[in-house]
Amino acid sequence: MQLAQRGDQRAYASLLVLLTGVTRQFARSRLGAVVWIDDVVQETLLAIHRARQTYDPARPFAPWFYAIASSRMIDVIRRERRVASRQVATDVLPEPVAHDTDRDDIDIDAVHAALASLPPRQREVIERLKFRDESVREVSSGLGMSESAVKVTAHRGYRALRRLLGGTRRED
Amino acid sequence: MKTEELIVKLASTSGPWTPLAPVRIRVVRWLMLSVGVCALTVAMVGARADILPSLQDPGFVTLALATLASGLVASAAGMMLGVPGAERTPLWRIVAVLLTAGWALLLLARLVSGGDAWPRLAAFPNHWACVVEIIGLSAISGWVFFAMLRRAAPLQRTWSAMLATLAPAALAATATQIMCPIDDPAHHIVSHVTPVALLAVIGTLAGRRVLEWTGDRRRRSR
Repeated sequence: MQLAQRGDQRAYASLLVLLTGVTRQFARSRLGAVVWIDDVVQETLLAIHRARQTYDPARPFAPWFYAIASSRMIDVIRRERRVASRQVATDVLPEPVAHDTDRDDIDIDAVHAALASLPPRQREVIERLKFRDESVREVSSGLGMSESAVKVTAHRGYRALRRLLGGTRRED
Repeated sequence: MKTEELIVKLASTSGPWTPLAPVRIRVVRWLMLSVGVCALTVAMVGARADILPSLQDPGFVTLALATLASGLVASAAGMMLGVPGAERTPLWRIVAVLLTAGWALLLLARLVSGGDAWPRLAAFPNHWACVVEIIGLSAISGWVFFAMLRRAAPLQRTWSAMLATLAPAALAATATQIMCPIDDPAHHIVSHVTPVALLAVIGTLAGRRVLEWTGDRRRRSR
């Protein structure tokens, strides 16, 4: 950190790489294997970057770092709880009634192109749920994710698809 | 964005930086400024005519010491909260609040012991000069306190905002007590305690947003 304070970018990058592992381990020991562990890691790295001028080289690094990591972890937990509270379980939703007139309006190629541009995990979840008609439980065991993680990933995927396809209708 | 990409981005935008001064230095700097502003105001407005005999009155000195101690402790606690991990115990902030509460309770006890407490309070013995002095002095040093905290990284924004408002307001109340010629506890409750309490509440509510530094609010509003 002291080298980084003097403008050594390589030392700073090395420090951030080191802290990535430490933060991931720290978060995993408290949260278990949640899918948004990377959110905690990235939020912590960003906060460290923004608060770097508050680190006093005369004081130990660990209390400074863990205070930021704990605070960011709590913020991410709150945010994820907020998101989860707005989720509707996909396996309890009634099956939508297919209307031929709507179906005629759908550009299947555009849907496939939008789906292809999603992150691999979201694409996989949506393909399994919607194209292979697998249940949330089957997807979760197939991908080694918790059921709630599957729902959250699917929800994010639907939101991204809606944005990519230019839709404005709320799914919930 | 992947974590590796984020690290590359953060490292590439990082140049040399100067660490903030240690907490105690920042507290002393802020106290010098705010005590200086208060002293200047007292010199310009003038202390109460009987200030020397009042300084030998234990009641007057106790009230002044309570607000002064509250301001000092709140400033130290507030600055500590601006540096992650610097606060080893929440005792400082609790003491700051207790001292302020003690000041108010002391005045209340005097009001009650003087008899006819409710009619005296209901008469609303307000003196606008006291209110203006407290708000004016708090605004100047409070603005500086918030600016100093914004350069830091307060993790507990509600507490930080409250202490950043309480510290200048308590010091302003001390200065106002030196200038105010009225000893009636009912007046002190109406024109000294109430503005300090209101400032603390408003500062806490509004200051939380001012002290946002993590970018959460910006991301939520997108």
